Parts: sequence; C-alpha cells; structure tokens
Amino acid sequence: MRMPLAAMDESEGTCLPEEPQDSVLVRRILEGEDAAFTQLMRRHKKWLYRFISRYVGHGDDAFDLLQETFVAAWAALERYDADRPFQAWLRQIALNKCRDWSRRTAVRSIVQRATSELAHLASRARWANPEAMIETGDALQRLDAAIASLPIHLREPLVLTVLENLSHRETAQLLGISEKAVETRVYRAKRQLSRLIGRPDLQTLTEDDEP
Amino acid sequence: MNSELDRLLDRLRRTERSHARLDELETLVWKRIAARELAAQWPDFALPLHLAAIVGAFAWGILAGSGVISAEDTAHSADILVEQVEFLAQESTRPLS
Repeated sequence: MRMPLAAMDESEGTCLPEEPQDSVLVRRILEGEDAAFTQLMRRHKKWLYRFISRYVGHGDDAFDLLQETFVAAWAALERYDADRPFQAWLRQIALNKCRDWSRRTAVRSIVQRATSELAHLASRARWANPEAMIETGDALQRLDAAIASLPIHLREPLVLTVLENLSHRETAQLLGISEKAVETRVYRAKRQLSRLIGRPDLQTLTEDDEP
Repeated sequence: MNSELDRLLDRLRRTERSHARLDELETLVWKRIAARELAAQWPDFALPLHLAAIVGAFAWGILAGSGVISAEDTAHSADILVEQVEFLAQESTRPLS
C-alpha cells in the first residue's frame, strides 16, 4: 500500500512533486509573497518541532523555540544560499536556538538541582528497577528528560544521529566536528543515558561521575 | 552497549511528536514577525522620546527645587484623601431617591 504523500510531506519536510521546491518558495518570499512563507512553515513545522523537542524536551519550550526559529529564518532569509538544502539551513538555525536555550536554562537547572532531591526521593524506589521502568508508560518521557539533561556536546550528536537519523558525516558538518568525534560522543552519550535512566533524580552527570 | 537503551531510543525515534498548538503555529509566527518589524521601526521614535523624557524630568527637578512648582500644587495630603474616601463611602450607602 502506498503511504499517503501528505503525511510524508508534513513529517519529513519534503514536498509533493506538484508543489514548488523550497528554493522557489524562498524566491517568492523575497519577491514579497508572504503566503509562500506560510507554506514553508506548514511544510517544515512538524519535523522541526520533533527535532527541537528531542533537544530541549517535549512541551511549551520546544514550541516557543519552534516559533523563534521561524522568526529568525524569516529575518535571515536574504542570506539563505539556495544551493544548500533548506532543511539543513533551518536545522542549523534551530540548533542555534536550542543552544541558546540550553545556556539560558543552565543557571535555572543549578537551582532546580539543589531543590529537586526531596521531590525525587519518592520516586527512587520506582526507578531503581529498570524493568519496572520499561513497563511503565512514561519510560519514554523519562528518557526524553534524560536526553534533555545531557551536556550539549553529547546531546547534539546523539539527537542528530540516533533520533534524527542523520549520518555521521552530516552531523559532523552541522556541528563542525570530525566524524570520529561524533562517533565517540554518541558512545559517551549512550553510556551516560544508561546511567541517567537508572538514577531517580536525572541530574546531569559530569565527566567526573564517569568511571 | 545497553541493548535496552537502544530499544528505548528506537521507540523514541519512532514516536510521533506534536504540540497542542502546532496548528496555530503560522498565525503565532506571523504575530511575532509583525511585532518584531514594529519594534524595528520604533528606534526612530524611541530615542527622541527618551531624550525628551530625560529633559522633562531634569526641568521638573530644577523647577521643583527652585520653588516655582511647590509640593502643595501637585500633592494631596493624606488627611484630604481620607476625608474623600469617607465621603464617598457615605455617598455609596445612601439610598437612591
């Protein structure tokens, strides 16, 4: 059975054969056709939300960053290089927004860390057993939160390769690091995740915590 | 590596994600763009207004300091305010004729 193209269109940011390419829409926007930007947003919002929410965690923060990303894209549209895939360009903007968000929330998380210990004591027993965790419906939410709590340099390669299915080469280009570094960081990210989801408090592990 | 973690990561990857307000996104983004463009136009007016406010406050301070504008002209004493409040309270409880 053929997969509905409209669904592919929304979730992956690709366009139907009869629809204008992204670069055509960008040209139209620059010529003053605002509706073309609405069309671009409709095309890319779903996968972009998915990407951002995997970076910062599911919820209103991700939705807010999604809006910020499109506003920034609008403002920078004249600088878009039509030879480059629009999706990659948009992902780069979103990535920068996510990084800014991480920096902003870093201070907040220090405060939260200091106050969260008591709140998490109650759930300690529940998460002590990984099997129980898997059986629980919100295991994915917890994993989500664990990913969001990873240090940026580990979170980014993990999200891009494991969750967004980008190749190591694409990830390396996007992050400006070597493919080997991507591989190493994904390995380390997974190792930290394994330990984080076994911990009740989901506090970010530091390098010192690693064995 | 932890195969259970890989399994969870795979499930997470295949999980669709959405937000309750995703349908409104286009409208919300256009509002933000409009606000941003409005703000970008304001610097032309903002600086003169800001300077005028500073000059005004400075002039007010000189005039008030020199006694040209006395405190009585601009302030209500607490006693008067209390009297007014009491008067209004009586007015409000008076039956309508």
